[in-house]
Amino acid sequence: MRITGAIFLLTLRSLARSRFLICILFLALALVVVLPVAIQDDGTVTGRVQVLLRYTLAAVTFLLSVGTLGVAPGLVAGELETRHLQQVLVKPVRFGQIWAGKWLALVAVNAVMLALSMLLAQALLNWNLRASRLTPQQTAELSRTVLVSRVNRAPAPDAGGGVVRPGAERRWLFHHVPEKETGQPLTLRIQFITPNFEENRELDGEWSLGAPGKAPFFSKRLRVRTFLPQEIVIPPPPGPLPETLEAVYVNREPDAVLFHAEQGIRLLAPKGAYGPNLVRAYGLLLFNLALLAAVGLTMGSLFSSPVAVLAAFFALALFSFSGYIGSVARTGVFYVPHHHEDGGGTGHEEESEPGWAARHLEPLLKAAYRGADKVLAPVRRLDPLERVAGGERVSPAEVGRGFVVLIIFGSGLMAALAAGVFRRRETG
Amino acid sequence: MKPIIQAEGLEKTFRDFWRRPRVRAVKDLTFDVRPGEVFGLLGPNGSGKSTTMKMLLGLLHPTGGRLSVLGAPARDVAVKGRIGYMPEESSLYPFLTAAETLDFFGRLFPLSPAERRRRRDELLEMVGLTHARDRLVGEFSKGMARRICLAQALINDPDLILLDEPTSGLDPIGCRQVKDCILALAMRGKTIVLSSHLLGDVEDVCDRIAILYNGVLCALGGVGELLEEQDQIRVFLPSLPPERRAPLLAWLAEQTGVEPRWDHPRRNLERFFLDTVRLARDKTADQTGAQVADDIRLAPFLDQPRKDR
Repeated sequence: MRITGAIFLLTLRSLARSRFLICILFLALALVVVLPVAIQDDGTVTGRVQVLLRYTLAAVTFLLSVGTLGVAPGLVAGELETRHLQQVLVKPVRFGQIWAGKWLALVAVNAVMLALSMLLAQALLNWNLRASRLTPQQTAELSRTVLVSRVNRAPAPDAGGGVVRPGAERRWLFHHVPEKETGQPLTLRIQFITPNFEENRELDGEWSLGAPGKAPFFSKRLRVRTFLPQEIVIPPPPGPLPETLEAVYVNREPDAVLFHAEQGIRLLAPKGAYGPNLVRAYGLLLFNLALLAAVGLTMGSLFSSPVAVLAAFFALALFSFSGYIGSVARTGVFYVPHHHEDGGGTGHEEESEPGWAARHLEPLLKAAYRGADKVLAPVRRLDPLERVAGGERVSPAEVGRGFVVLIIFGSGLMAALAAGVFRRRETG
Repeated sequence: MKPIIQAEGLEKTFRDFWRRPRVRAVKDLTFDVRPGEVFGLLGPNGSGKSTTMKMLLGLLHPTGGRLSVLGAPARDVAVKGRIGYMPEESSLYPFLTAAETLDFFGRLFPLSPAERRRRRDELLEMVGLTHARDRLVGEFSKGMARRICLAQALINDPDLILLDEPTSGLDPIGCRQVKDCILALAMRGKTIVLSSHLLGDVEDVCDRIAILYNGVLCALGGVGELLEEQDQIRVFLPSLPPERRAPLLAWLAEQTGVEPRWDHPRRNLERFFLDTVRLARDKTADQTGAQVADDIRLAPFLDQPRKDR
């Protein structure tokens, strides 16, 4: 600890003098201030706050990621090139201790920068809301849909996707519904389309929610918009909530309705408060940045400065496109099929014979995507940005899992790799 | 007594990206360094001095032969606690002050905070940088940086001190002080290995030297033993008037059968320079760089008998 502490303090001093990192911090703070003015929303207060939270947090996290990966490789590779690190390596110091000290310093700096940015963003949001003089209804909607912490339950056994023909009915079961929070409504979040991809069309249907095999405590005929996720607010029943709930949809449209494969229907049940949820999201974001710091330091331990920075940013690109990689790994499709204007997007397309390269390379590429997805899937599941903006709960268990996956396993693996390779590396 | 450093058939070949041998920097190098001696590595540029030094420090790995430092492999982390190293270039963190630099390097050793602070202050005084303790190392002149670099090499009171070009970048006063420091450390039982281009410096302080050329050991032995011309002698006499000198020279010629040569011995330029500067300094108190005393005094913690430390 003594040596790691010394390296930690030294690295903090070094980072405090990094102009690049100072620029990143100012840029992040500036973005927090500028984004609310620049971003276009859907005109509703809820939409505005959602967009603000989503984009501000995403922009700040992205900037801090860039800053971390821009600086981390240089803390090892750069110091080896300037021969500063050799002066430390000739002392009774293990490379793992150097790595750990530098990583802790990067995490500490990121913790401060992220906290500053999030505090500023939240303060500006509060100020903005106060200045907007919201109606009681708007305030209630905001605290029901965005500034809230809701458990997101997927239906069992499938994710809720599929086709519901005209007049047909579809049932979904939601297990492990959390206990009712006083006065807080439940929410069904739906995402569906019609086969002709009509945006913003309102679809007529009957929706109900209740205990399986019993009379539902909510039943209503509603028109719900297509394409983007929509929320149906459901007042809770007077008594306690059953542990399993059944949602039923009856299609009253002349067209079939297609529920999104992964986000077709979700049950959102309030649990906990918004503030602590934001703190937990902060924890997960910080763990993600800590993993990037580990990647940057390890790249710096393996390669020279420019190559290390390049490799680190490649890793960032992989993290950023982990959603697309996951989609390719699951569906085996590299692109979204283009639907013809006259064909109505039925999926029937004329296909030309694939060339030699496509025939031979595609299986390899798909295998590579599947491999990458296996590595990235645990990280992708620990991204809290979408959920915070959607008023979804980041549970303490997820934060714990994030710590295990991103810190213990991910960063630990990076540290072990760096120490292992460095043991064989010459630094003279 | 067991040698402090033992190199046997040491080889170092640098390879290219494809692992093909590119340069054989050190070839079949065998030498040992005994406890308490000052050992010099000499050679022109590219002779393998720095490569050998880096292998002693574990920064480079030998591709052949055997190397033990303080009875352990050179890469042994525990052994590094007993080594002090002053590199050829003072690669110190420019954003730390002189005191912070020593404090940082002190933290890498198991020293109590009080002991660390004591050693830091004593070393700063020893190298004449107490007045610049709060100045950033990045703002130091090359000479001042060399001094702080020497100080950091001694913070752990090492048994083995490796000095790579220790006097490079120093003015003659600094050079003399470093050499005095080396001699004083050797007197306290430290083992010192230094590499230098400055043959005069090596001659002044080293007990034994190894001369390398193109990675090969060309000469190894005590300085006196290697430099002494056994077939000649030199006699020093007070200056004599010509009428007394002539018969003496004639008698010497008759006895040896060789015409003796004579001249007035010249003062050592270093000594002359130091005397001149001392005189000039006495006239002005203004000093901007390192505050230099006539003689270097070892930091007290280095000057104590081993058992008392």
